[in-house]
Amino acid sequence: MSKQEQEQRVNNAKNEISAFSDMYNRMLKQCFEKCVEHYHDSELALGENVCIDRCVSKYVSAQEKVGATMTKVTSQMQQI
Amino acid sequence: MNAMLAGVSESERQRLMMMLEDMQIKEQVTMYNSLVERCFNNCVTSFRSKTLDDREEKCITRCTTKFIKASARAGQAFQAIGMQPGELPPHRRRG
Repeated sequence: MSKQEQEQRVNNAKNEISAFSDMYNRMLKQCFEKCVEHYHDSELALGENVCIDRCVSKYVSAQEKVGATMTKVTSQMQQI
Repeated sequence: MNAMLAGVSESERQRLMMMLEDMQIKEQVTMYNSLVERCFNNCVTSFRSKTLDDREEKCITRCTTKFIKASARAGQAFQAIGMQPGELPPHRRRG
């Protein structure tokens, strides 16, 4: 494999990881803001835990839905 | 990630690891700054003195602790779905 191809692969890997971690951090931020309502104590309440689980699951689903819709709509627009 | 790096030399892999380390440090700083902002915003509401009062200080401690615990919980929930770095849904994959 040429040096250039190798560099390309490394850059692709870096971009993918950086996109992933950006998404992950946004998810953490969103779910914390939506699910944690008070700081009366430092333990997560049962409801907050349940909320975080659901929030993460829904965030991932929303991400997939947005991606799929983007792909679909973009390709439809290109066909016109 | 190993699959993505098939055929890539050791020195190139090391270059990637260094870039990732760099990214990680930057992210930790960003995370720290945004947590300071969030806890300050939620806990510090009055400016009658120039030091944090007991109540504010305790609130900041709880806010920080809670965020760390919430992050850990979210991480577990995320892993339970089976998502891991480098395993983005197919539509996000390129090349």
